[in-house]
Amino acid sequence: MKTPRKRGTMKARETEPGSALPADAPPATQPARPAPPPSAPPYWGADLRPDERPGVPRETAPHPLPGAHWREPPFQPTENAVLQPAERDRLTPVYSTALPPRGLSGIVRRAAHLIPDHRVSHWLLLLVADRIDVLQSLRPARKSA
Amino acid sequence: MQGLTYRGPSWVRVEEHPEPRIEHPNDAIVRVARAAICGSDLHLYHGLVPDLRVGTIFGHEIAGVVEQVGPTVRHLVPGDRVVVPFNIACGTCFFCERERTSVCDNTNALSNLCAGIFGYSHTTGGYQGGQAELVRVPLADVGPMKIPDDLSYEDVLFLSDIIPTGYQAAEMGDIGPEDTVAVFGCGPVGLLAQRSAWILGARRVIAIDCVGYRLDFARTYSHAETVDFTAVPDVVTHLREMTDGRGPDVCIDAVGCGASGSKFHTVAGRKLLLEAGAPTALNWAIQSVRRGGRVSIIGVYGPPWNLVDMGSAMNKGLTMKTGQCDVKRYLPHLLGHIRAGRIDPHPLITHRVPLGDAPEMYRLFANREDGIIKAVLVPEGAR
Repeated sequence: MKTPRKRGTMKARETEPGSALPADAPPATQPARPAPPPSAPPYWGADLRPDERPGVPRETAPHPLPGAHWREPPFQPTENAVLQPAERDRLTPVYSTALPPRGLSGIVRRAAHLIPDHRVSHWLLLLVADRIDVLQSLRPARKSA
Repeated sequence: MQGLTYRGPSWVRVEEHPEPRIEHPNDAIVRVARAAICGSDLHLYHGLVPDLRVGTIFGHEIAGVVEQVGPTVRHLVPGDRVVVPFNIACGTCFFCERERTSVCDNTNALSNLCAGIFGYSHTTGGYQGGQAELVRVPLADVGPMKIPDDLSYEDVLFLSDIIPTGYQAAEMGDIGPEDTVAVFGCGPVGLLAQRSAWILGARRVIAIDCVGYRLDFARTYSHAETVDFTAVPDVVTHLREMTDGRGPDVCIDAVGCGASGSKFHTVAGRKLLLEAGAPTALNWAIQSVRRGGRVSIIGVYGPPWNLVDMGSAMNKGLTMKTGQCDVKRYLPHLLGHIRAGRIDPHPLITHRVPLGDAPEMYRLFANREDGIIKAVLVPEGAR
């Protein structure tokens, strides 16, 4: 079921000291597969070899993912004001327009988003905004199902 | 349409919402056939994740049928059955090109932490989730995977999150055939991490939790040795005693910020929010793993900080790997494991209910009642 995947090329250039062969060249004889431990279930060791695991290496050589037919996704039309992190200079190509900031909690959220998100004050203000949001929503605004 | 909606900490209800619409030319609208409640949804439920706005529809484990597509969508047509990865990815940014879709640069307008995620607060982009009748799926040509005709929604629903997440948790432990693996947590992700540890060739798998029925389940589903941490004087010492005094080679935190087991962290992190939830399981993982061992952190933590025992981690020379799952890269491989029966998702489904019963499922899940492992929601009209 594995799809062809582009792998990193760093390992292929490494060589064993004193050897002309790449370090990851297959050995002349494959090492013996270890026996499963007595308590192991029948599916033990299906992905025993690290190089057959789908997340190894964790970062592959760069390549577009299947399905992406753009260099950068087209930008979503800007219909509503959406908050963005203080350190970003533009919106992302796609974003959510659900639940824009509202009322007093919205004022606090806007203040939070003026502060970079590596600062604790950014998150503390958002937590405060969340609790204010709960209080200001106690007046039922939507029809319960 | 109806959707499971956040109203406040420990308070959700099913409400009417406007139907989603195409907002970006590569959007799809998916009619949800099955949506699952994830353990990480409980962090939202308890109000532990910042920028969680009243009215948010939860749900990032989604399978359904495409109802509408935007003008640039090439690979999906209405009627296609799809399973949708929980992270929204563009496929071409610096991170996606390296298959790190969980940290896509182009889908979370609201923070620099990670990619956009369905139904998981505005910290992850503010996208509405799939515990609803309909959901907007942005960049539909990249994320969703068509479901093969011979497979049902429930065969593949958990490929949206918990199966790849559990597998990545084990994979991040760099497990080899001599390794003893301890997994903290016997929720669905923990159970799948245990099972994945065997698939990767572990020598022993030990599961740690405090909920009796979950430990029972781990013994049969995951073939794991189990430890009830409330039944031993000190879980770290106990794990060392089980492993020749050294400690496990690999420890996996599959609990995250909702952990119990420490009164201090429960009060400081979960009640007073002086830290971002309780890092109890993570500290146990760091303290019990052998010197030079590996710690894999797949349990969810929110910003900004936790009181984590970095002194032990540094001095013991640990390797730590962490991160949200890059779901997309795992789908073909893990679909193969499902077909081969190595990963069987069906026993995990203990509750299958109409969407209208979702609030009760959250209550059961939060309180570990009625033997709940995994609840699957079926919106009205879904087949």
